Amino acid sequence: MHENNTDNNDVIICRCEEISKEEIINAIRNGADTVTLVKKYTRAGMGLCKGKTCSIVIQRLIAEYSSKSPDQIPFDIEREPFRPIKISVMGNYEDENALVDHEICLKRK
Amino acid sequence: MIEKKADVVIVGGGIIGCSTAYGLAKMGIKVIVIERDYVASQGSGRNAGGVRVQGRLPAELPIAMEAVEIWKTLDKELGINSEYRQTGNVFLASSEKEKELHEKMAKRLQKQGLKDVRVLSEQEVRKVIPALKQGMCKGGSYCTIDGMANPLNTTFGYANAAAALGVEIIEHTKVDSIDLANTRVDGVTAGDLKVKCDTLMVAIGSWSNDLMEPLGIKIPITPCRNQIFVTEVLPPIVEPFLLTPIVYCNQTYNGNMFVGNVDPDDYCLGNSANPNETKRTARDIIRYIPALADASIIRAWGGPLDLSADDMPILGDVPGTEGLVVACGFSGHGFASAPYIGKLLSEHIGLGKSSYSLDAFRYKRFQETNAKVDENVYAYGQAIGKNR
Amino acid sequence: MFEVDLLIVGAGPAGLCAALEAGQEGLSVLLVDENAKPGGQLFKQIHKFFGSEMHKAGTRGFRIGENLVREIAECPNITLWLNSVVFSAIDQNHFEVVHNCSVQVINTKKVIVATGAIEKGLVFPGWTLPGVMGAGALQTMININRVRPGNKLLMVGSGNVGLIVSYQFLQAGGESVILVEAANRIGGYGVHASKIRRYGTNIITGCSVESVSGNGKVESAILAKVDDKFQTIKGTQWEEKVDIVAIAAGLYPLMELLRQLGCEFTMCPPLGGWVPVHDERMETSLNGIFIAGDVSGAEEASTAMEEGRLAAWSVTYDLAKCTKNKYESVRIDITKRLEALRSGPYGIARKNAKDSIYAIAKNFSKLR
Repeated sequence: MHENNTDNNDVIICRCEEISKEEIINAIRNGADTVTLVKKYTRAGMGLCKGKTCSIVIQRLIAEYSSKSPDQIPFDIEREPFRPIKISVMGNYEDENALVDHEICLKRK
Repeated sequence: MIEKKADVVIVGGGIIGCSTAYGLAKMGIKVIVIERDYVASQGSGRNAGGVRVQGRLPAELPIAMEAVEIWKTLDKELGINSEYRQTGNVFLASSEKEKELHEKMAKRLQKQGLKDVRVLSEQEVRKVIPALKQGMCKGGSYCTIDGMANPLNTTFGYANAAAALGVEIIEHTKVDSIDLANTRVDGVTAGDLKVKCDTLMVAIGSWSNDLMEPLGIKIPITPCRNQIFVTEVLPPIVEPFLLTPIVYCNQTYNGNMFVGNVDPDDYCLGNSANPNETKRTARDIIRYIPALADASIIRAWGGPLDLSADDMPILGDVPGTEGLVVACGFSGHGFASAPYIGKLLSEHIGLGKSSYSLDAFRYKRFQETNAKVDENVYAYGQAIGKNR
Repeated sequence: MFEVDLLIVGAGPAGLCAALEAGQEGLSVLLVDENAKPGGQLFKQIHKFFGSEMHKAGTRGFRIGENLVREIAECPNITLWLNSVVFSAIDQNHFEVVHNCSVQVINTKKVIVATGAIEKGLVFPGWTLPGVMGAGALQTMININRVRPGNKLLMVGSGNVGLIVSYQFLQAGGESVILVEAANRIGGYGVHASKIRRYGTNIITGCSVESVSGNGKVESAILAKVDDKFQTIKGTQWEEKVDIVAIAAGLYPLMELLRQLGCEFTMCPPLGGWVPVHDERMETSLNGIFIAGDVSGAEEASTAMEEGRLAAWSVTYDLAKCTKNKYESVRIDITKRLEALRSGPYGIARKNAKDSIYAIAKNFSKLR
């Protein structure tokens, strides 16, 4: 709503990976018309916050610089963990409390 | 119905499809690549980016070695930053017996011309990787020309370079069937798109049989999940690509640490991680590299490898169907060798002969002999399999 | 493996109310929140609530939170895990949680996702300077941490969040507030706007922030008039000396869990953008996955609490822990109260938006 359209293309959009508006616009012009592809082209949203701040802005930029409308620009696919988790915590578990049947893992697409 | 025509149609926008398309385009051949999702959406964009020569099977070794030569100048050739670095590759031996096997393997590789591999004592390994905890190995084989690269940048780089040379890359389009004229390939049908071609290359990894089976072709490959979790950006901790018998890790150009594992029992085509394995690999990696304990995991994902019956890729013509070329069964070795394999396949298709014979990788080997993993030749694949 | 009837993710107003209803009806409930304290945004809300008696009108938000937390503690069927993160949905019945620094899998029959909403960012030159923050973050600093990060506030956005936080900034001893709104009218309740005007706040509509600058922190902002397409009108820029810039550009549902599970979403701007498709019973496109509160579309605490209760009763009925008659009568009561909350000039847009989502959900329930 408050997006102002002055150029300022060096402004940072993804703070975690320090990706500028210009880099994102270039990616969109090169065909990255989804949040997932912008991430894979530029690393925007690949950082510690997983795009919680920049995804919305990237969606707006895709709508502005591609032929897509907002309802054609969903969020990126979500991968766990939803919050950063230390390796030592992820590896701290009791088999009987934390492992699921192999069948459940196989079904997970 | 939309109709198109090309000299060569390649199904699959992975690194094999894109590097082959690039090689063909350089020869002036008209290529159309058709990709079900987007370029690098599966294995080519999901692997850890290891560029490894050590541990290769005899027939694959010359390809892996030649690929390294191409990797060295790839950025310049494609105009990209592939983040390729020769960081070395360390493969730990967990027992004296394993160390003996490593020594045997190193001798074999050296005999074949790979001078850059040697077996290190534990002390020597810990000089290469000071972060490795003492007592976790009996040594390991170390190959200094090995390294890593960024799979996304590289695959996109090949796709863009191919497109710049006139290759048409059609994404979000699933090929439904291979069209034949008698016993010859005529083209493919993808929804309301029909593309006629002289040669068709199928490079869709684990999904190959979906297209091939209707033609009576069954390639002995099984999918298996390669899964990775990635940490936040860290200071340099582990320089080489580190392989242990139960988990691997490598630190990317940006400083994120990849921690992964391949589980042959996890025959899943999904793109998510196996939650049991994420926890297990987290537990195991900090036994090897305690300095990673406080590193935060950002994301975990999976991607299917196509394991072939003898751990070697299937490359080349499919007898009985003229004009059909297959490239699959890379068994996790595809990314590292792709720059040379793409070149070989484009030579095979474009010139009718390749600078390194693809004969050892012919599809027919499975009919001629019951080709399977050779227990007498110790290579990386067996080592992983044995420890699972 | 921890087995329960109902896992509730998020112990804000929606999650707390859902837990209480379901727990009191005899379901075993695990309520998980990543924060050290339950209550979500309730404890930031030092203002009195509007609405009817039933909606605790006249009670301050944090008091409502305190009462709910006390009742939860007294209910033996409810287990509350704080400082605990649900970090992965393995499938619709298995969820991974970090609890006490170790990983546990929860095996649950049903789930209510009540994860709330997150502030929308706004990008302009200087937005990464220290001193630029979300209005919600500013509210947390003032009301929870008792820290006022500056003296001169530029608030961007005139919705209720922008108005209320501006007021609370002044209450906390802030020197001045300039409030800008890109639209040509104030977005929030007139009563809130009047309050901050009485304090001398300048509310400027048809105006936006163009850039913020300063040496290592916010020192000044360039403001400009904008046209009805929110484009800057050339030559209207002026500078204001401020040391805090708060962004109140709206909220959007925080739905990582639902995205991973593969719920259907629909674009619904009045409720924050992409929202999970759900029916009148608060069930999503996935069987057994319910939602309540801001994650189902950003509204406010009173509707969140009612949706929490509604979702809990739907789960209770689906698990055959209450009769159909009982469920129907409760459901109708709650629905009436929700409609009352979504009436009037400010509520009707949200009611219409909700109705359009329910209409989409009708198609999904056939597929289920």
